[in-house]
Amino acid sequence: MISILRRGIKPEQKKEPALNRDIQVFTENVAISRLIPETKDIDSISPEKIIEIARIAEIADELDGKPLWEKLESSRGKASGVAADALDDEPYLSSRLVLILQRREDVASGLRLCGKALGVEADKQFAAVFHSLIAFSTKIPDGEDMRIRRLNGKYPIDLAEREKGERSGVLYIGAGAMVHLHRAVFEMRRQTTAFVTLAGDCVSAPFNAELPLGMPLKRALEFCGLSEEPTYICTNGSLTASPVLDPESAFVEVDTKAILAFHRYDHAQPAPCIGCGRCMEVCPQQLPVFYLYQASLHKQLSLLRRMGYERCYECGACTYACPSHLDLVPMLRQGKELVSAGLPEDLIQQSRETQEQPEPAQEAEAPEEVNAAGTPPSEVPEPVTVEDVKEPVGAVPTPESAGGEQEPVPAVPEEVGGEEAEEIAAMRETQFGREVLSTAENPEPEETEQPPDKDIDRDQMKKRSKKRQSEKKQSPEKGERAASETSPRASQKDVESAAGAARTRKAPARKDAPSGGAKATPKKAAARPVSSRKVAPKAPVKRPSRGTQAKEKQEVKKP
Amino acid sequence: MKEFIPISKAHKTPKRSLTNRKPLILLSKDSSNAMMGDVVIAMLPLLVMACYFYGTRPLMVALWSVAACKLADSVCCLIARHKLMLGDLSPMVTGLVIAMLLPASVPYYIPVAAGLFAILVVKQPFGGTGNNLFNPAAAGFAFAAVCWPQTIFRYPQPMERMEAAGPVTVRLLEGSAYTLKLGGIPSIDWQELLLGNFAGPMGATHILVMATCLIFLLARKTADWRIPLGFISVAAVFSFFFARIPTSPLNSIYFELFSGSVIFTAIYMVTDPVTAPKTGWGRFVYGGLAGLLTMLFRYYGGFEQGGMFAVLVCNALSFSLDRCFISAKESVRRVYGELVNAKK
Repeated sequence: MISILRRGIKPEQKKEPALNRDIQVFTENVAISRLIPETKDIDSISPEKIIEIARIAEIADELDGKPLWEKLESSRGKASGVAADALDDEPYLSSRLVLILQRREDVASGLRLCGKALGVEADKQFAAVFHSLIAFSTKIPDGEDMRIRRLNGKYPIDLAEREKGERSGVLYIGAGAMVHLHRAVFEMRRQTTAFVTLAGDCVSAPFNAELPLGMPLKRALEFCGLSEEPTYICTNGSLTASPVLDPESAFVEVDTKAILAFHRYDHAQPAPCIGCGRCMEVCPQQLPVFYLYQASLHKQLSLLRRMGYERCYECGACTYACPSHLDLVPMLRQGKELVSAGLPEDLIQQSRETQEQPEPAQEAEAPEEVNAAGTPPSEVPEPVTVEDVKEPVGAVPTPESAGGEQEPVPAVPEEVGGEEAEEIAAMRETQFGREVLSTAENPEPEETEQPPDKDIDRDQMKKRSKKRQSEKKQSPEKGERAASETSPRASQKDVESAAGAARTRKAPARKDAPSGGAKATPKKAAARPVSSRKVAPKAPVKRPSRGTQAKEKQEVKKP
Repeated sequence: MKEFIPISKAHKTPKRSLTNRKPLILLSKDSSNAMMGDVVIAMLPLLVMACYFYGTRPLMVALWSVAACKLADSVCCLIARHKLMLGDLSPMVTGLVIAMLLPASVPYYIPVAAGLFAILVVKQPFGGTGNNLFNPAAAGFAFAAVCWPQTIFRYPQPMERMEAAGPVTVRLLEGSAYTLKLGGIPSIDWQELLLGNFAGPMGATHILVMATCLIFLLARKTADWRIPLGFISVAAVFSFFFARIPTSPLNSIYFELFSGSVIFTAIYMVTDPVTAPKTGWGRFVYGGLAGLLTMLFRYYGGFEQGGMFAVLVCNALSFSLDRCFISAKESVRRVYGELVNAKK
């Protein structure tokens, strides 16, 4: 690996005080799940059971927020290796690296479990660590329990490595997910916490902590103690930071890896872009960032489309490298949205086909610049109606737009009472309900090679979990029953059940309710751990939608 | 977001609420103004050498040029309602480049006129700092060359010091580039040629000092190394193979490159980041093309120097060069992706 020639940036790491301190655990409460059977050692469970336990415990991979069981399930038999990702290559972040240092046995055990679930041998399992530590080999020795692979290179190493890993078949899973998997299998614990680095200027003693999911960021910052009033708070990284403007309404989520608070007043002053081209030099995808930026700024869609805008994974190296301190990543994101929102897919395809016709390049250029909508005027554009557009880009498919292919919903069993039967019938007709029913009707086929499990029957577990869900739905007000449920998830289910109840009362408003939830399409994938249903990840319950659904809840409460 | 609060006042401002502007601690320590400052710093040794050779008059020429550029830039910013950045150093760079290319004996109205043309016609109407299509310094000097050709290309002898005020009473000579144009060999010793101890533009004759400044700019990454490399290598190759003076080809390289303002153009004019292409290969081709055109203008053009015109022509081509290489990369990537998919 000639790391000097690789693209990227080398920022200062600034991990030191946090990395050497113990992980502070916010609360000693653990969440035991009654559904997970007790397991003594790794040889007594089968790979399917591991995946099922990962699903019940709702473990999510903190690298991208996706559920762990989905990743394991889809890579079974196809992965040629599995890695515990402790790369943490951004400055200030050390929440996964510290797990290798301080919870090494847990990570090793989780790694073995993942390896077993995927069918990967022991010598293809390793932990990937970025090279930027002093006294590396004494602190993190390459041992029998877990092999360590040290990756060299410049900043966007984890994504580039993971992409390379995808091509070569190695699955990268965060080290935190490994720890949670170990706890789920051997201690029957659900995932209710995330490992977070608390650092920044305002934190006089930065450290890593294990914080409960759903904790407001303000409380988390109070936990670590701020020495100054912060002017910039960000989560999920320092170079790929998402700034937080209201710490009371932002929460710790599964993919929160850090909460950073800065108070320096010298914020980046806007300076004009001088076209130095450093953004293009550091881009790991070799994108023409300068031109993407200018095209997004001036909304030139035809230019954007030809430059590979979709390959940007928003690593933030360009924003770091820019000497004018321009905020490049939001503008590139805006460009991506412009392109995907500006033209329906078929018009883009049409204009691409007419471009590839044997015309001289200049001729195809000039008419395209003229027409801002992007369609070459060589063909007369037909008015595009709603029926022509098969799938609007960016919309979550709702039952109404599914095109009437809905099967009749099975009837509610008679033993359920009248009012509950209405609610249940209404809920079954929604997207959620259909998917739950379809998974219940068609369980996954068991592997014929593996002997049938004696302890756990998958259908039985599914029925148990579904029954538990329907039990919870029937008593929405008593939603806070088990101590194993964290409050936001319980309230999410309350809200859903209340919304379901509200849907039966307001029949004409039913069309709005599902699309109202579907409209809040997230920019990231699910930030919440997905419950044990196979549904598309819903938008995280943020303030606006919570407000409307809370209003419905209050309306329900009145009569 | 449009507030302008210099860092010196930051401690006195009251505490602010949360912003989503990144703090500087998360960004690189560079700044675009610092890059312009690097170019200014890299031209100050040339000014010092000019003052050593020609007295205090070069200082006055530079001051007039810089003042005209800065004032014009600020007035245009106010008219166009852009944010007035008094610390912006890019008009200073323009002013200094124009000054360095002029003879030390030039009357003061010429650098002022060139500076005003550069800013008011070439830079500000296109959008100001960062948005200009053509190199304003090259355009300013080209304007002066076209309007006052006799005055621009007559140089005083070094070591004849001139005063800042008062008329110029020294003898003016033709430059070595003129000698080359006539087909003759300039009678300058090689040490003098390197040190700049011959009649030529005020700041463009000191080859050794310029080489040091080039190393400084390359180390600071203000100038991309590909552009001067392309420029100088193509110019050298051209003068090797098509020598116009009756001497050995190596000597031809020597004289062609070190007379006139070839090296100066390569280091300060072509490397302007705003007008140069942004892709690596684009920069190579841009530098090479500029070198070729410079030599062609010198051989066959009306003036003895051609650098400024070559730079202007290549500025027009820089976006096309970039687009050409970006599309080439995209097609290569697409073809490679299809090949990989076909293998699967």
